[in-house]
Amino acid sequence: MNSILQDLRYTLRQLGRSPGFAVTAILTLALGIGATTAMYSLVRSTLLAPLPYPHSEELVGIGLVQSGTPPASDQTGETGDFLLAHAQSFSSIGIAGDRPLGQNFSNGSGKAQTIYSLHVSSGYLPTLGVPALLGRTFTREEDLPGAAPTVVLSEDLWRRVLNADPNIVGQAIHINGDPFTVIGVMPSTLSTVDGTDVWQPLHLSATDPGYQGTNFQTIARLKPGASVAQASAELSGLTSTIFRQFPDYQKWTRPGAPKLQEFVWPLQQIVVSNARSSLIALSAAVLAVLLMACLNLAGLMTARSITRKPEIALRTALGASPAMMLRLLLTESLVLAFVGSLLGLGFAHLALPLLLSASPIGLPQLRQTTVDLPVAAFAILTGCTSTLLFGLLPALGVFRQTIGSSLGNARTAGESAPRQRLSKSLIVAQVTLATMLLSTGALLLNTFLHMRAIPSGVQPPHLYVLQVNLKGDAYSSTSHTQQFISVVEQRLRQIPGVAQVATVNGLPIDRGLNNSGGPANHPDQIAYAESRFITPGYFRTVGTTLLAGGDISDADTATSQPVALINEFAAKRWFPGRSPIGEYVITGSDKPRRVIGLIANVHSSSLTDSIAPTIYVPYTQVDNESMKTINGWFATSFVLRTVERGNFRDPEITTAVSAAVTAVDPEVPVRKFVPMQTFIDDNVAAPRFFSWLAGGFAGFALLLTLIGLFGLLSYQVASRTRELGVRMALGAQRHQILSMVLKNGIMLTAIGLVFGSIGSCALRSVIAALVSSTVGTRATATASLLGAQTVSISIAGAAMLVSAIAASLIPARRAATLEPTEALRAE
Amino acid sequence: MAATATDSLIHIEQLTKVFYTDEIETHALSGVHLSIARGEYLAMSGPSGCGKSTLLSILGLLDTPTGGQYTLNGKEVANLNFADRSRIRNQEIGFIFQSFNLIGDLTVFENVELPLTYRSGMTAAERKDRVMRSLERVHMAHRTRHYPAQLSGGQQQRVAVARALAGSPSILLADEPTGNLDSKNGEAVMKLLQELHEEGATICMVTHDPRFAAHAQRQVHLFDGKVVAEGELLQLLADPEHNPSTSTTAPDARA
Repeated sequence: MNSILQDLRYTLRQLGRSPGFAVTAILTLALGIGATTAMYSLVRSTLLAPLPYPHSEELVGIGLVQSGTPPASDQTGETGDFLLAHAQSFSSIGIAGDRPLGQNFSNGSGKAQTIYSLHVSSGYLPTLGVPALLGRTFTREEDLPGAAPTVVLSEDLWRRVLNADPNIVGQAIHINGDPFTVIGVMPSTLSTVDGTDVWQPLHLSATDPGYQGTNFQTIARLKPGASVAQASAELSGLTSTIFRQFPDYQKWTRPGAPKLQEFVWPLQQIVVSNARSSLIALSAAVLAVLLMACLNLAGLMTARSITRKPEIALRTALGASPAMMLRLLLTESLVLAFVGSLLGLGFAHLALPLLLSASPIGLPQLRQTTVDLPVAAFAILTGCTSTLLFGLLPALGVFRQTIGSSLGNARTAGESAPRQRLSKSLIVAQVTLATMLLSTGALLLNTFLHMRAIPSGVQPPHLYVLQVNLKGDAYSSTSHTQQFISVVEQRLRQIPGVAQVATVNGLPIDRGLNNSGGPANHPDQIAYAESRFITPGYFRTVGTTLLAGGDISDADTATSQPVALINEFAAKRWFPGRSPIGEYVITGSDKPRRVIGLIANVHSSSLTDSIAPTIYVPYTQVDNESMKTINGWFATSFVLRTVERGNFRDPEITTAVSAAVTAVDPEVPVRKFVPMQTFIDDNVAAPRFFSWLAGGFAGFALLLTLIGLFGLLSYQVASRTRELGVRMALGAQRHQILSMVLKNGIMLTAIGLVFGSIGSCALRSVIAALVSSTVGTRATATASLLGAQTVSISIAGAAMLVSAIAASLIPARRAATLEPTEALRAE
Repeated sequence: MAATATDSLIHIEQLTKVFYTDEIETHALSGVHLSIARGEYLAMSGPSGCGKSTLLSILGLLDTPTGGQYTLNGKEVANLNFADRSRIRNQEIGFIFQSFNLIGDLTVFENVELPLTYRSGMTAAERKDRVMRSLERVHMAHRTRHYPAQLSGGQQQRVAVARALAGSPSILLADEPTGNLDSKNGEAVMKLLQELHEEGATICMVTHDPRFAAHAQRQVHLFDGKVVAEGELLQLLADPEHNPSTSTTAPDARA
């Protein structure tokens, strides 16, 4: 014990005498372990955590999707009903809307707020198997169309808004102005998965306008003993029957796309599907950073053990056994590992909240993401393993060489070849990894810049968007919706600074109605098309070009001739080679509409989506059923173009905009009031986030490489001083010595660059998959977004070479300014 | 065979070298006069700290004198800048070190070629020719691809001699060339130097071993930074004031 304490004291004293080495080694370890620990904590709370439901391994999602798509539980209403009736592998099946929808909640305090409601079948919550905290879940009767309106609250909403009223069950709350009876409260574990505030009955019916679309999700619990594979096999056998029974499914398949099929996945995979590839890619980047830190540590420890050779040789000569020397080296490694790990934990603790808040990817928090005991144990284990593997082993190699050699003078100048090879290999490996990280960062940055440069089709400067949810019985009619929109538009126009106002259901770069549409006289051409509903002046307000014909006007009313505008893409597809003006189009089950205008293409739901045929219809000419549907599914957006001065978003304006809405209907809260640019920025948030993150990792990797290269060359200059003296004695000029050291650094970098470039090319498909999954693009679109690999590799190469020259310059200058007589005396 | 300033390859006059360490002045050379004729084989000896290595460094243009004159091949070289000294060193001087100083990760061929690579305008073929001729002269042409670690001490020193010869220098400066060798290999190296001298090489060798010094045509003795005659050296060495090691009184007793 005394010996160990003595080793510890000696180690601390030694580290204190080499503060440069100690700080560099500890910081290198701390940053590597900090990044790894933060990522492990995130992966543990999302990908590795089980769903917070009883026997969650039995839960699956059933998706009607194309093969090769990520796990999903998308389903049409009719196929959902079919599964309820025919699937045998499950003990229960639940159907829900495709996502929680924004609703207007009021508890009578006079201040409405937006909440998120998921419409679920009576079997949905029982399938999850979580018992209600208060009351119960929906009965089959409550889920039938026309049943009395009921609602189940989340524990969070119950506590946050209703002060955890223990008598809430049986009382009424108001959603979209309509009363709903509370029948239960579900524990908070349910909301952690998708952020739902309330659950409402789905009332699935064949008369539902979205019944034939993939507007639903299906979950199920496997029967005891049944497996995912068995369930998949059963549903695979049912697929052909489904399509025979429901031929309309083809409507939801883009031309040329693979056919839809029923797939079964574990529900956990579906919940984390969106985040999965992103987290795996980030984990790989973090592991690369950790590996770089380890390689750097190996270089540092090797160099340090070489400087300690005389001490090691002396101790050995004085009788220290190999075991004693091993213990001494081990003590130093463990001290570094422990301090580095503790600091790394601190970094992780600070970085995690930043990472979570900055991430544009929805990360389902299945378990709290925090630095807890298992995470701390992971950090310390990683630290110790890394240090022992990458720090102690190279040091032991030097130790073995040292005790194998005598205390006498060497007869050759310079390092031994094997030791040089080890040091050089470490640097080459670091440069390889750093190049891969740098080129990945450059590739993602390129993607972000490409995406940002895609024209949206609107003019964002001085354009603002005010979104509201018009839901419930009050807004199930066109006249009431039209009345609300008209009055709010008038009030918004009165706000100082507002130049133009119009309204749309289905804002560009947002969500809107996917419908069917096409030329009225060619029913065979009717296929997937986007429908948008607008008020007069919409195109002028958002800045979209009217290419031909005219705009809608106040003269286009419910009783006047049905009219529409179509985009350029639709015109070329439906009326090739001729003007579409005066032609007739159909959208959904609507009557034929005369085309009065041709509009420039606009990206409908995202910047990277391919342009779709789009039909614009006046609000006044939407039938009640369609109005109820679009109001139920999508937010209504008022677009405001302001005069070109001042900051429009000061608190007074925000209050005035809010007042313009609530004055017309106090039960309708403002869901969002933001510049149009925000929608566009949100669309590129994922590539921006990843390019920043990859840039950060690449910067760290570059820094580590700089430190490593600087350390190696400094060490080489120190250990080759006598060789340099010999070279000078033989007539080498200072510039020749300078270029020799520089060339050494650049050569190592160049070799690493070659390997790194090969690795970067291999990584391209992984990055493409990451971009595709986060941005939602198809393969061809992703390829054009990523741009040329040569550009990213060139950027990485240039950065590495500049860094290599910078890192080599100081040791090279030191070598060139050596005095030959002193250099020849060096040991 | 003392050479005059006009016909000598090397002529130094009143050469001084002072080292400054903190506030201490150390006079390593205190007015050395020396001439070495072309084709002469000179041995320099003296006790430790007498200034042999300092003088050899200045002769080899590795260091500059504090004062005095140094003419090499008729040209004043005492106050040249580093670049000019490097160039002249490369062309005029061949070094042979006590510890051989071959570069461990270069082959025998590459080690011998090294001084030629610092010369501009020499083709690879010409370099190869010179390297092979040098190696043949020291009987090491069969080991061109070997690394120094694969050679014996005697062989390494022969390669070092070949390296010194490769550039066809005006003079070979050998600093204790047998210091790291056993007597058999030491004798072999001395024989090699003797052969080179007979072929016309000018050699200036530092040695403290009288057996090896005897191989030279002329011996120069250094004491306290000055060239002294052999008789004077023996007298000085016998004087306990100059050479405490010969004192019969223990240092602590004198204190």
